[in-house]
Amino acid sequence: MIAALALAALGLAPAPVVTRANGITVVAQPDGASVLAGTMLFVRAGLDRQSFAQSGLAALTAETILQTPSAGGVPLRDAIAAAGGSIGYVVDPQSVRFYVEGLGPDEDGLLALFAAALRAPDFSPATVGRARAEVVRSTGARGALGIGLQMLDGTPAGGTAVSLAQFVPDDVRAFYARAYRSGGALVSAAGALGTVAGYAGLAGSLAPGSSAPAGATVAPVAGASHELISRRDIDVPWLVARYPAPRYGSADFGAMLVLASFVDKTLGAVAQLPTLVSRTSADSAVGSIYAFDRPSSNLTVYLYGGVGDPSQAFSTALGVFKAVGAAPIVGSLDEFKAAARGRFAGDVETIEDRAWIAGVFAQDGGSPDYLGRTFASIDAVTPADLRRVAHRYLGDPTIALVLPRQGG
Amino acid sequence: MTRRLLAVALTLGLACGGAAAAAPAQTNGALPHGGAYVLRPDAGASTASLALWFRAPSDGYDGAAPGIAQLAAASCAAVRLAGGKSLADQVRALGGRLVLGGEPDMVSVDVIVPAGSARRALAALTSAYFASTPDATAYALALRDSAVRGVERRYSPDLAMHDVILAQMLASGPGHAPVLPGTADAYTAIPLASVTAFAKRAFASPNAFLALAGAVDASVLDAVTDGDPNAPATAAPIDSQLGPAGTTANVGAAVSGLVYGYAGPPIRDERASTALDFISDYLFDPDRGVVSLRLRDTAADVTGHFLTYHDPGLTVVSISGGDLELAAGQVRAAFAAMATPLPAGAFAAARRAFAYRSAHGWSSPASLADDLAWYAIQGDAAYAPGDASGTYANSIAALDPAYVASVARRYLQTPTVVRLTAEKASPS
Repeated sequence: MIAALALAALGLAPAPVVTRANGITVVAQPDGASVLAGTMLFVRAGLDRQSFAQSGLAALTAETILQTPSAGGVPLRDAIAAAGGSIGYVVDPQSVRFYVEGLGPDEDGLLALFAAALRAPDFSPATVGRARAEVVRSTGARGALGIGLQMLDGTPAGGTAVSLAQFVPDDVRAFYARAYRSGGALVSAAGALGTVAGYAGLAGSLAPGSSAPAGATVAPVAGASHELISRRDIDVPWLVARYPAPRYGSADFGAMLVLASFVDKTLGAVAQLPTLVSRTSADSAVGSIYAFDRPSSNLTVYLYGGVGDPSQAFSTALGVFKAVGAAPIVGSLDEFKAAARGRFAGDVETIEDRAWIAGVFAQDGGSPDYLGRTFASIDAVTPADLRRVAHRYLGDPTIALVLPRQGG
Repeated sequence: MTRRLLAVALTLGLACGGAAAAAPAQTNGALPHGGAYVLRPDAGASTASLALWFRAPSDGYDGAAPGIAQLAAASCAAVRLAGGKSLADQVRALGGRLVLGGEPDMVSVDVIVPAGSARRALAALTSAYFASTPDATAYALALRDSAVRGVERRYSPDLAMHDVILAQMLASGPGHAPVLPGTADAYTAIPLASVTAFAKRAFASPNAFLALAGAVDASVLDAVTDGDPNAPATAAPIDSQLGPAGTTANVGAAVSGLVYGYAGPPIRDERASTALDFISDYLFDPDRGVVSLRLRDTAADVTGHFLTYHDPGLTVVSISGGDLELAAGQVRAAFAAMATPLPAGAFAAARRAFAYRSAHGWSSPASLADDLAWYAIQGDAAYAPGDASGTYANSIAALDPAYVASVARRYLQTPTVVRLTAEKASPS
């Protein structure tokens, strides 16, 4: 109660409510101002549950659930759309995240449809075939930035058309049987939850027990000046660089958020973006992505050739980042802190964002108070913290170049 | 100077589907010297969104200066305020975002800041627009930013096609000229004195609509700067005039594409407007739309929207990438098919999906504030999909297959068509 009052005094949202039982964590953020309700289910069935030979199997299994026929015979994804909602999933390094959203009064019905498919997916050749086609389609729809990110990721989350072709329905069934367990599962619901009850028991649709990672994982390629080059049918080059970065909850997390803001400002300056208004259509041309929710967290920066020949500007920016470890940053620390707060708050605006971030922060037994924890960690950053964290992480990045095909 | 605002609190119900949903708290009221506001607090939000929008012609009150509205808006954002910082500086110092935008008949100024910063942001925002005068320094900064934004717009397929189809369909009025011209010369041709005069007239409080959403509460309204008590009364919505329907044109542009435009009803015909929104969603929703699904394995990118302007509304369908003619054929066939009523079961599912996606469209503080501001500027605030009155949700619930088909027959059979052909960039 006291904590809630303190947050309100700061103008911050009340912290989500968390309960834990039988290895399942449930996080709730009721919001009377929203007409939407969203529920995110984290299952420990992500990339680390598949071996190298199984690239794409985690995504294929998740998609098979969405393609499972509901009552009436239509795939779950279509049934949920027809019932006034949406469902999707993301395959993360450790988890697959399903997200179901609808108008508050409809959410329980949508969750019931999802729970039925989650409990008993259809592994028939027809359903797995539809799922395979959908995963191939979604993995093929990548822009140049997506190609660069995939080059740095190493293993494409959705596999490739070739790797997916090898799987038969029994492979999908076996992956499901092994990885879709309630142990370590987390449900995070947000929005108009007043009449919604289904989220609390959603993870109960999973079999009890837990699974283990599928053996060795590859350490991320980082900090060693690797350069990866790909040529594609694009008009202008993309430059993407990746640094290792601290995970949320780390003592370095706040400083890295502040550094990410410094990185953004530097990139904007070298790309000569407008100075009055915030980025609009230039958003996709230059920027950074701080992925802090995974074991191998990272900071990715990118620059698109649409703003001119990007190589010199990019080189300049990387040099500036490296120098931060040895000298004070140029600019106001308070302004970079404010930008870091704004950037973080801006990334968690929607019901889906809120469900995701509360779930991330509640993993591993942590508090789901994402705004309070993050703002406090940003406020505590000192100039010495910035130098230390920059020195530790912003050294030599791994660089991916996506270049126009020669002679094309 | 600030004063406590006289608030008219409205408690309104929202009808969504068959089950009752709790009504979001919404307060409507008047600004101290004219204009109006709407407040939609959300204690769970991480950001506060402040949308200060104005009715103003994008090409000036004499119709002779395309781009002046955006140039003036940028100039006001760059003016140093009493504390020594401009609005742009202040928003940056708060960790927020400043987004300028507009349509032929309006200027939008959006500020989004982290929770806890709404009050300071609102003071700077209203001070910049209600009580400041652009000077030479601000004007110079605005010239550069406007030129960059204009060039970006030229290279954005959707926005470039939006501009050319409006220019083709609308014979006169601000819609005939681009909101953001794509060359620097267009802005330097507008002198500071014209910018100042425009700003004084357009950005007065009586001309404004302020939508506040997210991490805000009524107390922040004390931060509104009053501005000029003698400013003219609120302007009526600004319309452009349709030219002949069914024309075609080929234009050189920075991007290639094909765009279809159909004249629609005025916003006061809420039922027909909602039907056209439904059709756009049914055909062109990026993930579930009938046309989108038919073309998803091609390189074509198709978007379609009904633009709810005051009078007339316009349906615009933009096609870029891939085989333009193939995609255009799908679009024409889809509109033709809509002239026949959908089967009852398919219609019910599509309407339910539309009701959800409509609500999803204003589910963040920024999108809600924009939604509320747009419809207020167009003259029908209560019809905003996000308005707590539930007017729009009720309008969706009242749609039936026969009526939707009749709207398609009336408004979606005679397109105006513009083909954009990418030109080689000039050496300059």
